[in-house]
Amino acid sequence: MGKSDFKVLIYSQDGFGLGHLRRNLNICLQVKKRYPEASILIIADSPVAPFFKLPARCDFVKIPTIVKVDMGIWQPDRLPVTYRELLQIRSEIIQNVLLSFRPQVFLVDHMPNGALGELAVPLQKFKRSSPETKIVLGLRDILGAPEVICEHWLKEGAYAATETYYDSVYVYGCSEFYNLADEYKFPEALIAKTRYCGYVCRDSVPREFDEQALTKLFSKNSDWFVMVTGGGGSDASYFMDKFIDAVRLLSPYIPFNAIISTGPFMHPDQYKLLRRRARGLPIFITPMGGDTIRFTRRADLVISMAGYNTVCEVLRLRKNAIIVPRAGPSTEQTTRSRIMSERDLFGTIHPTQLTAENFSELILSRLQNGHHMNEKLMPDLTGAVNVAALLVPESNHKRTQRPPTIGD
Amino acid sequence: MSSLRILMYSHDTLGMGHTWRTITIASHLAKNIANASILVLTDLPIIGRLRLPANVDYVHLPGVVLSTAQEYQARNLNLDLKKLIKIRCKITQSALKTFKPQLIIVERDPLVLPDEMDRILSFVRDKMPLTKVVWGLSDIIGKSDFIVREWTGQQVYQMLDRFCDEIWVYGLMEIFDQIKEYQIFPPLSEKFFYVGYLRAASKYEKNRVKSNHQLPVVLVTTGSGSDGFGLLETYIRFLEKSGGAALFQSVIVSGPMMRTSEKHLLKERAEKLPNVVFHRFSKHFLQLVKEADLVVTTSGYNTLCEILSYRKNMLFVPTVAPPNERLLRAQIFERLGLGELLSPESLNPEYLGEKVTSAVSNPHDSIDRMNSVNIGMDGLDKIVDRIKSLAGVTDSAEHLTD
Repeated sequence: MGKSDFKVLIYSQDGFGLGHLRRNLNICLQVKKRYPEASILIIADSPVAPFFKLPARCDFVKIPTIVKVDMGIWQPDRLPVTYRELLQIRSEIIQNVLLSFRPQVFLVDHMPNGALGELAVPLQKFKRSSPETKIVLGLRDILGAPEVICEHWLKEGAYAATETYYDSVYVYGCSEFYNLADEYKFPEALIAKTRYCGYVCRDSVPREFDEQALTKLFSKNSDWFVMVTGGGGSDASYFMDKFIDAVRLLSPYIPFNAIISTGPFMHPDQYKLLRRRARGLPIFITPMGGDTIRFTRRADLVISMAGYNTVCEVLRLRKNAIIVPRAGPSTEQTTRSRIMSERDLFGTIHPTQLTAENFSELILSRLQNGHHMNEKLMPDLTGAVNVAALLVPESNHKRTQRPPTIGD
Repeated sequence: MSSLRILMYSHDTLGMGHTWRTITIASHLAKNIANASILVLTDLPIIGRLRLPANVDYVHLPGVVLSTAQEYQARNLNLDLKKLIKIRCKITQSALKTFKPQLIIVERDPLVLPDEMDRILSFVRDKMPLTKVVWGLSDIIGKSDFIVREWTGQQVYQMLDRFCDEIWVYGLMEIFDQIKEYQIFPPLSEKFFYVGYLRAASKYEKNRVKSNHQLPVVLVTTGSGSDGFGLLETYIRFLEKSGGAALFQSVIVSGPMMRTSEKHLLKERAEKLPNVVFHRFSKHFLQLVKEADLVVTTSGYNTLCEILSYRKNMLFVPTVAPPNERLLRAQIFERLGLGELLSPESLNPEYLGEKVTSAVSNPHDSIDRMNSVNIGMDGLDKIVDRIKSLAGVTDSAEHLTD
């Protein structure tokens, strides 16, 4: 065997969204820090994959896209074939990638059997042919309401699959915030495999901000700058629309400039509508992707939904923030915002109670009063480092500690 | 009628030409063949940034690149080439087995990793005998002596003949007769179909170039940009030297595959100049072509089609390296009167500047010239016709033997 033999395979199903992919890439970056020579292959299905810049020695296999219609219900995004056929195509590709790539670590994001159960057969075959591979299930802090998740896991055989095929379960959260194993009634055998790793964030500090980039966008300078961001954007138009109403309510005395970053998946019609509705207001609307983080860092107030990665960015950068969680059907975001706002990590308004009046009031009060997070109530944000340390065994890690060669 | 399943297999080593053309064709087929279901297999790393129509999805394979030592190696993964090829073949076979296409269109240079195609197409012939296989080729793929030598050495003739039902040339026999130039004989020559050039049509109407001062517009493009730094740098140097005196506006498009460091360098310099707009990648590229009075191009196939679609005057500055397909294409189109070829060896800012200035200052010459030549641009429709005749033979997806 030539070259490096440490290989990691990651399964990240996103459909319309980028959250899982982003989180997995944050883990990749930490794996690369420990072991730069490692090869990482990501199986993704986002139609815009890889979207983010991949680390060195990292490549991806994109499989045909499916989108989630409801819990456990999927349909092909583009190909006019039945979901069963699409499942077969995906499953066959995944199985062959596993068997030909033969990773030492297989990290599966949040669905033990994969979407549509597509991992069931590949896992079975792979476990038999490569029993030494470490198979890990990664779960974000909160998956959804316990009764929904438990029923779904039972029905899909997710508990059984995790017991049979997985060596470990890493939770990308903190048990003091949400005791996932308890909430989802993990049996003893699973609890024994479960580790809470902390929240998985990026660790790079965004580039220094060029104030000109901001002043160029607006006709007037303003005291404050508000950043509104909706992650992937597929369902962010609701709170963005309400934000525009809230700003209009404040006119003509609007003490801030705002950027709305809609994300790559917002429907073009909704995007146009937002632009039209924001006319005359100090709001710049853009589908920007990569620069969002730099503007977020600069912002005096961040307004966003409660997606995992956005919340992590808000906490990591210690931003003053208002979080409007997705109303449903999953309670993941409302639960996350409730738990965190109870600790005063940010302000929140439940989407069903959101009005232009209470929104504008909260915006003004948070801008005027500033934000004072209690560091003691912060969760552990070093999840990516912790996960990487668990994934890359010490012996592999040591191998990279070579003496520097001349010319390095 | 059951759906017509087409698998398009594309590979790009450096640029993005093959996958770009694949997407162009797939988009047209999806709109013009009822019930078409198209799966594109590609290793283009930026595929996620290209827009795909309904009924088209893609599978991305881990990439292969050509190293500076001219050896193939994994694009990113730290793996031996052999192992990487195995993974790519396994993914492709999985897709073939489960998607069960009636038609496969191969879009890649037959000289690149011929073993990989051999494995894949052998699998098709063994397991899916009813599936039709087509190999698509650009109008011109290289200088005749080079192609004949390499195709002979790497047994490309045998491979094409053994595996393919048809070979489509996206060009015209009158312009370049591959059968004659590349010494293709029956029975392989009987499988060749010249479908013509592929017309591009902009979906957008709005003008993109701000022309408040009525100056002519020069568009400078190097396709994907993977090897475009030299031309763009020379062009910018000419503008810098002319001190803003140029009597035209410039739109410079670096292409998405240009190295970030190179792009930054060019962008920084371009932005200091008057009447210059710099893009890395524009979804409005065709609109930019449409608004241009002159296009300076490295004469890659796709860009040529785009320029021909709007009948724009051209200056050819091809990159010169075997198989010299671009140089040859530029020579031929210059002879047709559709543009002027700049001698690549003597490219310098003064020479380039002089040629550009003279081309934009005599617009009527070029318009007359362009209008006197008629080039068959209906390749996309011809492809639909070919597929209908091929699919008539195969009407069922249930023909996989095990």
